[in-house]
Amino acid sequence: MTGTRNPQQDGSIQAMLRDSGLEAATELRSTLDQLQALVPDRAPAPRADLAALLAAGSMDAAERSAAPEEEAEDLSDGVISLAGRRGGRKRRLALIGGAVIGAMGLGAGAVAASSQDFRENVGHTLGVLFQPAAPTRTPAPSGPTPSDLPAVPVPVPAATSPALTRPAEPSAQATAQATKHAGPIATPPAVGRGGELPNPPHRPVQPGAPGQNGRGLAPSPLPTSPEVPGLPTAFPKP
Amino acid sequence: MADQLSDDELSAALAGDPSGFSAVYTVMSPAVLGYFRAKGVEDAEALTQDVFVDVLPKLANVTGGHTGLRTFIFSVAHARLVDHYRRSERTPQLAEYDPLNDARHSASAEDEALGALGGLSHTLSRLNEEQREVLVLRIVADLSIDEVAGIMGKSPGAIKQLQRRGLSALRELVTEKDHAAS
Repeated sequence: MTGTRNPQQDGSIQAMLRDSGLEAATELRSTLDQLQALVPDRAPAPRADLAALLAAGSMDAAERSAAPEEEAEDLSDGVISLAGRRGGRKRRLALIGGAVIGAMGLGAGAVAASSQDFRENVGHTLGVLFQPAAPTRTPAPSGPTPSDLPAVPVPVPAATSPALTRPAEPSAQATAQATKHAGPIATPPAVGRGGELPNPPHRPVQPGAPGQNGRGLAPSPLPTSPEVPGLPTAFPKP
Repeated sequence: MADQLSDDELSAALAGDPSGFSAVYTVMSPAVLGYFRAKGVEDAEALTQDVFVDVLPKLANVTGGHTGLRTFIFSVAHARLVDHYRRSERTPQLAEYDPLNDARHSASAEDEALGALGGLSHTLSRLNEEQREVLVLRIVADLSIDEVAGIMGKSPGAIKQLQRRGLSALRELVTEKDHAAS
């Protein structure tokens, strides 16, 4: 601080001295002036973190007056604008989610299309769905009407064994046979196991010892055994 | 001492608006720096900047206009200084070789000419701690008796008493120094 000093501060020192009854002490006065001279004229150059804080203030002021595009350029070095990244993150998440769902759908579709059992199963299910009239389908689970129900249980053995040889005809045959053989007892479990249809290729292996299977399906392979015998010999060896 | 804050800048700063930060720093930091220098802190600038990094985001809570802002900033500076002293008490003192502490030299003419400032801090350091704090806050920080009382946690009467005793002690030290010099 140079010799120029505003009278208010001079007055404050003067008032202090007067309060303490030391107005006349000139050497003390000069010492206090020296003490006041420790205050520099200008603010010290701000450090990096403080400069960033101050720059944030001036940037805010500029933001209010200027367009947002210019605001990004007002950023001091070392300060990175995150505004551009905030929206992109959500968009990227949505894209990834869509891609995952799409890939899962594709994979499931490919598996479904490649397995023949599934195709036939769908064919049967559709047939079951569309063949009978709507009122007859509702009592079906209880199994009182043998006319449409046997169509469901039969695919278990029939869809498996003839699948390798004759895809289409056996279903018609099977329904005809099933109406002869299958009683209401065999039908309920087969309805419930519609989802297990791809597995049954192994079941015809045990027609000789149906008791080992231990499943509710035991009665149903038996009636169809006349068709099966050719296959079981081929399967168990490998 | 730099110019005063304008009312617009002050209201912006006290509203927590960052646009007022720069003005507050420009106007207030010299006094804070002078305060630390008068207290004999080695790295007064670093401590000043610490104070403002601390203070600026909190300006929204300050009430009381110009004097409120000044009191707030210097109360933070005072607390920082106390922290600084405590920390420096715990850290080991690093002693470099300082030629000035070497007794085998004679005072140079430059030292005698520039000795005013060093002499002042030396004189101040011989005052009682509280007296010195009152004088520095009153003169360098340009605070009123009541504001100093608020910062130091004392009554205004006690501050007046400390000021009077501090000035008398300082006067004795100065006259003693002058007699010794002459």
